Amino acid sequence: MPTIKISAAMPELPRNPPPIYKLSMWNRTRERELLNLWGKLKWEQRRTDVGSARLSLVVFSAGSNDLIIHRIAGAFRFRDRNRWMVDDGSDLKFSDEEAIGIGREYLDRYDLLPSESRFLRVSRLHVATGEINGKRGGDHRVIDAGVIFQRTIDGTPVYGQGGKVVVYLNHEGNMTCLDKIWRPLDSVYREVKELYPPQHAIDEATRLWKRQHVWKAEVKKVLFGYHELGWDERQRYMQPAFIVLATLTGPDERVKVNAFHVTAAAVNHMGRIIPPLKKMPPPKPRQEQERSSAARR
Amino acid sequence: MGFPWGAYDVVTFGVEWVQDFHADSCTEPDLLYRQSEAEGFYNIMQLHGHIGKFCFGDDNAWETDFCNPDLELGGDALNWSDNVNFCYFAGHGTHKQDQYVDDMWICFSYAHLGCFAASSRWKLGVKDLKWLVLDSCLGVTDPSADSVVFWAGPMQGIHIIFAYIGLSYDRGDLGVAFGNEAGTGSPLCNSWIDHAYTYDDYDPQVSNHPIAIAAGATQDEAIYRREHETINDLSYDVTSTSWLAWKWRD
Repeated sequence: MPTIKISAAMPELPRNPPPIYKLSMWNRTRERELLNLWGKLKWEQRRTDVGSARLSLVVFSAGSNDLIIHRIAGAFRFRDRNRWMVDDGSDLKFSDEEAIGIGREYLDRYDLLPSESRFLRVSRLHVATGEINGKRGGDHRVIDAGVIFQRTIDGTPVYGQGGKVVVYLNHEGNMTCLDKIWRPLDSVYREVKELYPPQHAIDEATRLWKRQHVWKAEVKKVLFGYHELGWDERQRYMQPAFIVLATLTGPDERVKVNAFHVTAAAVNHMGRIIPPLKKMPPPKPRQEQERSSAARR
Repeated sequence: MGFPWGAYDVVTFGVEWVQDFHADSCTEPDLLYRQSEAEGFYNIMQLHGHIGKFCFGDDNAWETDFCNPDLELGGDALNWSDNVNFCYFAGHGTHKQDQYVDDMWICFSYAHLGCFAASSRWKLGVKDLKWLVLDSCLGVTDPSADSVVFWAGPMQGIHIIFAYIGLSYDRGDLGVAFGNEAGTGSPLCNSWIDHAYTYDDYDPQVSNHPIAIAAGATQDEAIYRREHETINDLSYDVTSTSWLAWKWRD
């Protein structure tokens, strides 16, 4: 049984539990609307599905601009390939507050920031170099700022890789990329009468950690909210969840890893929030693999 | 119809992953998504026409595959990790740092010679290896020059190392996404940072903060690799690791 240390306060739960929503599917009308947002650009479809079930991309390009649509998630990225994340020797100096203001302006211009959202944080892309013999470090600069907004639904925050709009700015405050993972809500699918207590999520996580032979788990945070999946994952419902954040430690305390565990919070939930791991075949004995690869050679 | 980045060269690659550890030896917490990450990378690279040479998981993944025979008796890197152009490791990583040593260790479930492969036993790139992904915790402890430059020792011809700063989350959607871009000629460092970074930000202190470290004989060369290198730069050799140029998102 792992030793569990809880250094986090339990989240306060709302008096009226938030409902479970059904999410609406991506459709071509929405795709056309997106293309029209940047209507002056002459989009050309460059690539569709690359053949993996886990990727359902369509890429439209116009010059150095790409509009990449992840149909499974209804998410998209608009980027300028020649400028996004590219070091042109500049150093981004503006403050978080300025970055937030500029980011909001862009999102308002394209009407891409729903009212139900809140500022989350500013992420910065850094570059640096170092000379080895001289042990000389230097040339540390920041070359972009990503302003991240988080989705809320009736005031309940949405956690996960999804439920985010991000505007990336270069040192001049020009937008170089815009990401949006924001699955549209369809309708309330089910009212939630009762929520589990947060301890339920810790108990679920502890059961998993026991199976994982974890020696020690330090629970650093327990969050309550909705959870939205990332770019290439199918999600049908938006349901209340607990997210347990922990650091897991091995027996000699030398090896640590961060872990998050997402558990449905509604007693009448719609099943797992994170899709179960696909059962993958165990690896064949190495000698067998080596023999077959030698035969191929 | 073409890929956004145009045509690309074919490279050789291999992956190793470790997620199920044993209770009696090499004991560490099991991981959940390492197979999915590494095999996702393997499958998508193959799909794009690259040549997969090995895909070893759990007890089939050996620390000797990363250690150079000059530095460790029994080291077999020249037949495995350094016998391909692109190598992807997914598993636990840790860092040993004191006044004598500054070393990254990757962890294995089966001890051929030991349970760890220490970076001080590596000569990455002396043969074919150009790009190494360390999809594990603690590729570097922090992004300062003092913390990053230890990689100049193991980087002996390799072009770029892709890793994480500090602890990272065990997740399963990176291998496919990174392989899909890297394998079709996208700039490698940006692809890594883009896909390995997570917005979810449950807590900024424990989010995934990726870093890409490029080598070069000159500062300009290292910067070129950091900013522009793709798999098409396969034959543009690093003649000496005199400079490192790195990039990270916080």
